[in-house]
Amino acid sequence: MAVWNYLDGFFPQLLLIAFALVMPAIDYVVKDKRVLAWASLVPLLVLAALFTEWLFIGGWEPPASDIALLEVSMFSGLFVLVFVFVGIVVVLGSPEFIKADKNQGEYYALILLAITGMTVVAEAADLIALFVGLEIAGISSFALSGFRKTEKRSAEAATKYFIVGGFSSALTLFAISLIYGVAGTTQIVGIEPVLAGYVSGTEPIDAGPVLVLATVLLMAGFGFKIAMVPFHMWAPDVYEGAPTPISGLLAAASKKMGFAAFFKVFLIGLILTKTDWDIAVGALAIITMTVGNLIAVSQTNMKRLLAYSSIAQAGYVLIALPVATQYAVAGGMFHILTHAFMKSGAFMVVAAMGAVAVGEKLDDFKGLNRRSPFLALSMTLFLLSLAGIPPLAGFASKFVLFSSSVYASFEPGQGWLIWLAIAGVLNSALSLYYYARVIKYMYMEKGTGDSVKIPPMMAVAVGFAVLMVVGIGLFPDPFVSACRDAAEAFSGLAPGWR
Amino acid sequence: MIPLEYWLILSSLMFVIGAYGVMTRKNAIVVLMCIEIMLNAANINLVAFSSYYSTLHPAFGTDVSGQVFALFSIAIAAAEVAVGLAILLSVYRRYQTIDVDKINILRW
Amino acid sequence: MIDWIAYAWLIPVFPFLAFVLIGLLPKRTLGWEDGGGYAVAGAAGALVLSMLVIWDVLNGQTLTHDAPRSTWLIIGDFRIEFGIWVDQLTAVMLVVISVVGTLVVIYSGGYMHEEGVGRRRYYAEIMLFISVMYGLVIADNYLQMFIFWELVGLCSYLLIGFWYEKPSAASAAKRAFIVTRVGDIMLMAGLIILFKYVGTLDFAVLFGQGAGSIVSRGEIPQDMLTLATALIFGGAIGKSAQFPLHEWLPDAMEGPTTVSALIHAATMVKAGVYLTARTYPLLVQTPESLLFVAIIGGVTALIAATCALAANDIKRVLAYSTVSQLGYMILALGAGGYLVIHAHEAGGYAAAMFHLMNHGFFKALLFLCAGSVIHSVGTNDMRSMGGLRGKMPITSITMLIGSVAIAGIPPLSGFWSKDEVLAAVYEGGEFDPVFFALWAMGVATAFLTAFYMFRMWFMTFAGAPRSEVHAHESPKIMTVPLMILAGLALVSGFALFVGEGFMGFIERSIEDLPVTPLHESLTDIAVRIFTDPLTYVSLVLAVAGILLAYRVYYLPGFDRSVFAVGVRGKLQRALENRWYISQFYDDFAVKVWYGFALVADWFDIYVIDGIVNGFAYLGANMGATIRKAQSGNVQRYASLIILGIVVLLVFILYVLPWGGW
Repeated sequence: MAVWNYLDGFFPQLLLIAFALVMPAIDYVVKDKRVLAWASLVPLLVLAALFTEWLFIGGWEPPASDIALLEVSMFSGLFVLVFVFVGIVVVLGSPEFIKADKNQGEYYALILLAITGMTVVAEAADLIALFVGLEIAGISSFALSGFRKTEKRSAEAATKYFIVGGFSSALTLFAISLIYGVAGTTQIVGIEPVLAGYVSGTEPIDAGPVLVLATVLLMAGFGFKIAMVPFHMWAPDVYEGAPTPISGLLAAASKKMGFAAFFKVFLIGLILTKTDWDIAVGALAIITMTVGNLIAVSQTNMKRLLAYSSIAQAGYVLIALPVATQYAVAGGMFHILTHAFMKSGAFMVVAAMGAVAVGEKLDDFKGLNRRSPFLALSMTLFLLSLAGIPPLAGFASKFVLFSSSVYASFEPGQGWLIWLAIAGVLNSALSLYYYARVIKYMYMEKGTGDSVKIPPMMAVAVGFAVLMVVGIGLFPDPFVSACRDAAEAFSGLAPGWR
Repeated sequence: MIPLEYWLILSSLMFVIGAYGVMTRKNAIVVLMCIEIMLNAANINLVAFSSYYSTLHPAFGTDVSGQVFALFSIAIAAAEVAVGLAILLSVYRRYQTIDVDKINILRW
Repeated sequence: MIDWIAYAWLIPVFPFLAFVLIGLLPKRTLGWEDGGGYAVAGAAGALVLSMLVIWDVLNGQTLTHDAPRSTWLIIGDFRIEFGIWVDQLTAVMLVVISVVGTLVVIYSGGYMHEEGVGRRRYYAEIMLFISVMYGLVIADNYLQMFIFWELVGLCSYLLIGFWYEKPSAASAAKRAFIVTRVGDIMLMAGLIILFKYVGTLDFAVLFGQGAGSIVSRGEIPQDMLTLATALIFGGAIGKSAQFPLHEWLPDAMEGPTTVSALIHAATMVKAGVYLTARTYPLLVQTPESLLFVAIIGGVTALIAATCALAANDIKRVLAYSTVSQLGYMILALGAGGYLVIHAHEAGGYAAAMFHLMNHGFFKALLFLCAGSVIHSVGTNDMRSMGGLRGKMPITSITMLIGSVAIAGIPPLSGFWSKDEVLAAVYEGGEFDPVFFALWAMGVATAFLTAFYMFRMWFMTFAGAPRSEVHAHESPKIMTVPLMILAGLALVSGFALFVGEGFMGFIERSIEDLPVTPLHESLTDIAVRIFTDPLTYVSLVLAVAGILLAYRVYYLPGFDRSVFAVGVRGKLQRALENRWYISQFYDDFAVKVWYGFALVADWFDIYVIDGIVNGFAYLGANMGATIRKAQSGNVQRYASLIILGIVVLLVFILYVLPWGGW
């Protein structure tokens, strides 16, 4: 059937959208709102199973797209898998958290739509698809962060997120229009040959400053999504005000979408002008990790602390851009993968504490070990993994990522790249300070209150993330191979990329 | 035929005006409108470049991707405004104002 | 006949299993002492397997270059593999860890009895601690070692801060963690240098002498190797509490005494010495680093010994003595490297490891004795002890044995190894006169050691009781380990004369180096020791130290108030304040580092926001905007985005070309 042939490249998106559309109807019919969570788990679990089989086992393969808008490869596949896994964790953590709220059908529908947008970004082969995906995810998450309409902070978070988000999508679109003007195409792989023409001088136009302007505007637009300093200011406010599972979605998935866009446009489209942006991005990476870690030290709200910590983590992943080798992309993707689990898990712990009315201030973590050993131990593992303590996942991925820049710095003229690794290691040491403080609060401070019972679905969400954090840490090899395959597929997208 | 430069100057002016408005206007609705101005500046660019490549630069053949892009972005902008107005409505209910200066309980 | 050595990787698994079981099993199934039974079983399992492995090593088997390995991670052409490495050096470490570890765990059954619900956490953490320490000594590459190295640091943080309700314990734990991390960063930098040039961190490649050293193969320039070895030793400075990073160890006394015993005698601080010894094949290629090692060791030995003179906390005295003895080991390693280079002898290296083993036994003994005393009288302060000899006969006698051993009186173990250490240092003087000075410092340390140990013993056990406490002897579960350790402290020195002799045994672990085996027969060693006049110098000084302590702290009629006036008073106060080193760090850490954090915070609030406000001020109409810009948060974010874009544009378009990029 011709239409199906045309659409089957959109298979994951269609599945997600179909379930998103029926969600309000289910909401209308059922009394027990947990059914909504189960229903929205269906497409996520299906996709998780299929993509896991594709990336780790082999057998199933997603249908290739017939149209030039999407490019399905192992690179996009790994990102889709990350988004889907985060979606599973977030959906599992939600029912208890929002049990008193109205319009739950829309809530799950918006989560599914946000994930749809992210998968579009991951698979985008064209700047149009990229922008549309960014906006689908962006608009859905604006609404999600304001989901608690009755809460002042939620409404404020949504307003801020929306204004800054709209502003940066305007910047992104303007940058894309300039790139289109310079290159005459919106195909991401088509940009590079045109630019090659400029570099070799066969084209008459000097696109220099315009292209630099476009590059910088894109840095701002994508930097907003990944919360790169100085485009990060919205993130702590929004993470704090949004419903906690949504903060987890933003930190663990939406941020990764920004990286997918960053990788695609900068490492494929703009690779020829790398000398224009690599030092700037490297400097921003160092600034981002340092600022994130320094400000995190003085936070008193756990969600804000995690927000600044994920700003710092974004700084680590940014290392992959100036290094720009297959190894570095693999390392960046590996860290994206591990960070998705540890950060969504950490937010789910905070969400669980909110759901059982313990609170989300740092002080509420005092003596958590007595009140819920499971949450305390899980949080400890997530935080230690974020700090990069072996044998947890964060250590393995930081190791691959940092060593990629050390490796690349041996190339002639690339010696400065070693500073990225050094800054990363020093920042990891610095970050341990505030992570250890939380652990100390949980185990060594006296708290008040009785022991609490964690809702089973939340326990499953946290437990799944713990399992992944420990499992990846102990047996990183299959995951690294998957990231390596993804990076190889990524470099296969553009000719002339090392 | 109006030369490309004129369109680019127009769009740049709109972009800068919009950005200025986002930074300075205190009414959130006006901020929203300024964001729309910025998006439309980009749309003008897209259409202008598309037309430029189609007519003045035949080497690229007829190129409509810019115009298609502009259509997409107009649709997206409409959706964005819808969600944005809903958010502003809910924030007005909580704060009794849409002055962006006054919406600041979340900070450092 | 089973090849036990191939199962060496199982050694850390036993305590780790105990850790998991204690941590996860339901409370009612934990049994004796809330998990103590599992802990003893885990420690004993590791002990038995360690002994079997050591037996294989004694029979000449090792597992080094051809050990089986398993892959952890492959990235491109770069593989990370884990494997095990068991040679004579590993065997010595295994002896210390397994014996001391097991006895400490058994002893804990009595010592931690009153702890109640905290015991479960205690046993779990201590099992993890022992497990990672085993893991550290059987690693066959620096990366694997570094991972366990960090875990050792983490466990020590948890255990030192075990009584976290006490602010002093919490801060001591943090301090231990942060200070050793300074060393860890140096170690990591050293490893990065090695990796950058050689491309691997496997011992088998780095130490490979068959194809020539890594310098002679042209894989790494000499000066970079010097830097790398010095930095790796920097890790040992942190972990083994060497000057100037030694202050964390005395503070670490805030943990339970059993933990102190484990940290001091068997695990954490020995890791630094082990690292230095393990790096020997690289160190002997870099004489500058060796000199650095020796000087740090000598200075530490002397400074720590002086600090112990004025301490009144019984555990603090022991802590400083540990630092001082570790200084001896490091000094011997430094001097021993010179002997390897110039005289092709392994004497210093062997002496250091010999001292490590003996120290492991007698220091564990001393700490457990101190624990027994504290358990009985309920205070650490020696000024409120005294006269305990009659009430605690076993503790007092075993502690006396430990004190005599550490003071270096023959025939107890400390005498033999300390003598070998000093002899090696003196011999190093032939090649660099600096070693004569270091030898003098070592001998002075020997005098001070004897003095402060007996000061401690007299203040604790002799004379009349100074406070109203009802002291009693500890239960058997505590005294039996004391007696076993006392027996070991009595006899472990004779390892010098058993079988092929300790020296001959340990030097085979560096036989790849240009070392000619010692041709001394075992009787020759004894003859050499007792005919060397230098032996008697240190012996006489040690006896003099004991007699001085006897005069000042035992015999009545000595007016100790002379310590409080004039120059002596100043000196006394300087000693009590540990040469003000701790204050210096406190000032540094609290004022400088915390100040830095404040500056960063201030910077964020005032400068960054100020710049943004200023930008909005410039951009907007000049009049009433300041106030609006200060309260308009979202717009401030948007302004910062624009500011960031402008700065980036200027940076890329003007700064980079101007900088020549």
